[in-house]
Parts: sequence; structure tokens; C-alpha cells
Amino acid sequence: MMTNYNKELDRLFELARQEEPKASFIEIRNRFHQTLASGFSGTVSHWLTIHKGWIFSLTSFSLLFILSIIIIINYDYTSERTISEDTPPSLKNVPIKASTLPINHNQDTFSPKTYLSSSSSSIEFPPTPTNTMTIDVSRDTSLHTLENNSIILLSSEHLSDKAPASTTLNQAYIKKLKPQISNLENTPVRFTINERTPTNQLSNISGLARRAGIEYTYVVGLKHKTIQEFNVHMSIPGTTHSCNIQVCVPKKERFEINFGWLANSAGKAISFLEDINIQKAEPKNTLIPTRAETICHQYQANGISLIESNFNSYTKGIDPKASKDALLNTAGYILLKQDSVSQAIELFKLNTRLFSKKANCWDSLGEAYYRNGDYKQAKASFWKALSIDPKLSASKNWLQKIENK
Amino acid sequence: MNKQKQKKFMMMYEPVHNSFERFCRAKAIGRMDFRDLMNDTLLIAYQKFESLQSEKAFLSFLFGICIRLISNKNRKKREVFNLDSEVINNIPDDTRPASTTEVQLLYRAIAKLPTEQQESILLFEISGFSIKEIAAIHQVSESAVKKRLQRGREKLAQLLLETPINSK
Repeated sequence: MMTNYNKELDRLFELARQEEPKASFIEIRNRFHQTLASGFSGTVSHWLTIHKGWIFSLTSFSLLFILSIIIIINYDYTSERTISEDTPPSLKNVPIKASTLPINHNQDTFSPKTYLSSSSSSIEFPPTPTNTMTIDVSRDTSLHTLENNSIILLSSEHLSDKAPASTTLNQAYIKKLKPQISNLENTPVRFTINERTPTNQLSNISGLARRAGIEYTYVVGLKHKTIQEFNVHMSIPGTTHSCNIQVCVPKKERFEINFGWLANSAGKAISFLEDINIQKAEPKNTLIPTRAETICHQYQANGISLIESNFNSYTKGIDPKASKDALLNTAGYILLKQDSVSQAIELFKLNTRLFSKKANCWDSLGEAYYRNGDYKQAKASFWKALSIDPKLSASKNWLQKIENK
Repeated sequence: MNKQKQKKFMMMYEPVHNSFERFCRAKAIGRMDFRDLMNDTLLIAYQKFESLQSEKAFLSFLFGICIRLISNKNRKKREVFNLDSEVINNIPDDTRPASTTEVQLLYRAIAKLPTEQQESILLFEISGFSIKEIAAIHQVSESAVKKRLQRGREKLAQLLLETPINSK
């Protein structure tokens, strides 16, 4: 009696037998004749008679390639070369002018060049040796009035095919930017304490606080080198600024305290941070969503290379049983949800570089390529996922979706 | 003279093209573009055309050359998959609607089998050769071919199907 798997395999073999060929007879015949017509056959037959033992390696693709190169070297291509006159100018080594613009400007009558010349709030950036430009909007105080979806313009004289004429700041970036703009002159000094913070680090914080002119006292209760009680009192003499923090957690419980102060240019504290928070630490694997959000913000502000170089720091504190690839995977899907598809692709690509043997990473990359309309790359990613895990139904479904398009 | 030889060669090749194409497509997965494999094989077969003893053995003649070509390549190259450089030779050409994901997965799973099982499965299940003919191509006994087919099928079931297989 046939087992179920035999029936299923027979079905698949039957499908394979019925499949139309990918390369037609005419295509293969023409290619074969072209290869013969290039004079290849004479050379090969000479080799074949003398070097019988090397027959198959010499007639391999590599030899065809070598012979092709010899032919090309002897052929003068200069007369056939054309250089496009329409190559756009690049951003390299030219000054860039940028400005913000409310989204409700009249697009029909708007002239970026005229606006940038006359706009009092436009700022100039010096030439850079690369073809990319990072706009730091915190440089100019006039840019503090950023509204949601403000647009940064580049001078139309300096546009290249890669640089956008304008770029829209998303809300998350603006929200992050505004607190920084308001505290341009003051530096936040932040600390994080959890149940495993070493006592010498607590002493260091105490020293830093005193140097900042803060009256700082703390009490810590330890059990088996784990902090179970932490009280701190801070005040700035001559002001009404003060801060009290008290944490007492049961045995084996976890917590996290974030606190600090704002320091002026001389390093003296002027006030305490308002976002002091104390919380019972979440189980490690639920750190992933919040860490992923952090990665998204930092990527959008500083680029992918920072994420790559700091990746190990992002994974600290995450449950060892959780897959580390879930971090960038989650971050990528956050960006996809925000319609930042090309950024999501970069994060997913980084994830596949770090975890090349994880089928799910390739599947996510494929999904991002699909969203971007790049079906060729999407297919490559899904097939890579399936080569690692042939049973990954998500990738199979995506491939079917592409086939049905 | 050469033109006559080419004409005769192609007349012999045309009826077996489909079978040969499927075989090369399956054998080339993870190694090279299957069209290159087909072209290389045909070139060698053309050079050795005079040594072909029987027209009926033409397909197995092509398979034999193809198998040896791949065997020599395996000694030199390893599989490279690089999305960034867009080496997409391993991606099935899905321009035709008849090409299904299941068939491509089947070929990829076949590519993971040991060489003897792989070739036996391709020749028997896809190209329609008999066990006797396969034994002649591989120069082994018919019982050896049967064992390879059985083990190949069991391995494919493990690779492709959800439920584990309890073999005898």
C-alpha cells in the first residue's frame, strides 16, 4: 500500500513532467549555432584531440569566457562609445542651500530656486566630498518652527539623480528634534540604574552629581549583590529644584530607573530632567518592541552604519532565549508601517548580513522588496528563505502572489 | 560538410529537447545557469558526435556528458548567493504561468540529494528513463538504481513534506 508521501511525491513529479520548458528548442539551437559560428569549434577540436583527459574542463564555460575576452581585447570600441550630455550635476564639492517649507504651498506656482534665494530662513551648508547630504535642521533657530510634514528643499542647481528635490520630515523625527532644539544650550546628563548596577557605578554618579553642584545623597539596599532598595535625594542649592527617587522591589524582582539633570556649558546642573521614570523592568523579550523603535529613530537620524556598529549594544538586556534577529526585523516592520519602505529594506538587508542563515530575515526582506515593487529582488529573497527552510509557507505564498501578478 | 553535420545533430536533438532541458534545469540549480550547461553539453556532444553508436542512445549520450560536466564543476566551484551583486541565475524564470512554486521547490530539494540519488530521480521520475536505461548510464546494477530511487524519495519527503517519514 502506497504511503501518503509517495502519493504527494508522485503528484509533484507529474507536475514537473507536464511543465513547459523554460528555454525553447529554437533558443538553444540559435545559441548553439552562434557559439559554433564564432570559430570556437575549431579551437576546441584541436584541444580535444591533444588533451583528451582535460576535455570536459576545457570546454567548460570558463574557457568560453576566456576566449570571449581575447576577442574583445582585439576589438576597438572607441568609435562606438557615446557620452551622455545630460548627466545631472552631483552634490559633490558644491555648497547646498536648504530651507523648510509648509506643506500647503502652491505647487503650481512655486519655484524652489526663487524661494531659496529669497527665503530668510534658508541656510547654507559647505561643500562635501560625497554625493550625499545630511541636513541638520537644529543648526538654525529659524527652523524651530517646524510644523508636521515640513519639507526641506535643496537648491535646484545642485540636484543629482540621487538627491531628492525635497524631502519630507516625518512626525517621529520632528518630535525627536524639538526637545533637542529647545535644549540647544544645555546638555542632558542621564543615568540608568537597575537591579544589577554595580555599587562603584552608584558612587561614580554621586561624584558626578557633586561636581555638577548638586546636593546628592543615596541609600542602597543589597542582597546577593542585587539592588533591592535604592533611594536618592538631589537638590540644587539656591534654587527650588529638587528630586526624590525611592525604589523598593521584592526579592528577585527587576526594575529600571532613568534620571538625571540638565547641565549648562560650565557643567553645572540647572534643573532636573522631567522625564524621570521608575518602572518594574519588563521581561527581557518585551524589550524588543521598544528597542526596535529606538533603532528606527536612531537610524533615521544617523544612518545605517551607526546601527550596524552599535548592534551589540541594542541587544543588551534582551532575553537570551529571544532571537536577536527579531530586533531589526521588528524595526523594519515599524518602518514599513510608516511607509518608509526603502529604509525598511536597508534594515532588513542589514539583518540578513548579520543573520544570513535565518530564513525569516530573508522572507522579511522579500516582503519589503515586494512593497517597493521590486519583484525580481523579492523573488530572490524568498527563494533564499526557502533554500534555508523549504517549508516556510510565508515565502511560498509570496512567490505565488508574484506569479499571479 | 559542417552544415550537414549541424543539421543532422539538431534533427536528432529536437525530439529530446524538452527532456534534456528539464534535466539540465534540475542539475544546474545552485551551480550555474542551466542554459550554459545545455550549451556546453551540446558543444561537447557535437564534437563527439561521430562516436555516437546509436541514434536511440542520443539522450543518454547527452545526459552522460552533462553529468560529467557537473561533476567536474563541483570540484572547483561552491554555491554563491549574493543578492547585492544580483547573481540571480538560481532564480527560476517564472515568466511562464505554468511554472509553479511547487515544481521549483521540488527541483531545489532534488538538488540537495546525494548525486547518485539525484540523477536517478531526475532520469526516472522527470525524464522517463527505465531502470535498465539508468543502470546503463550510471554503469551500476538495476538493484542499485532501485535503492537510490527509494532513498531519494524518502529524503525528498523529509525535505518537502510536513510530516516526518518512517522508513523501513
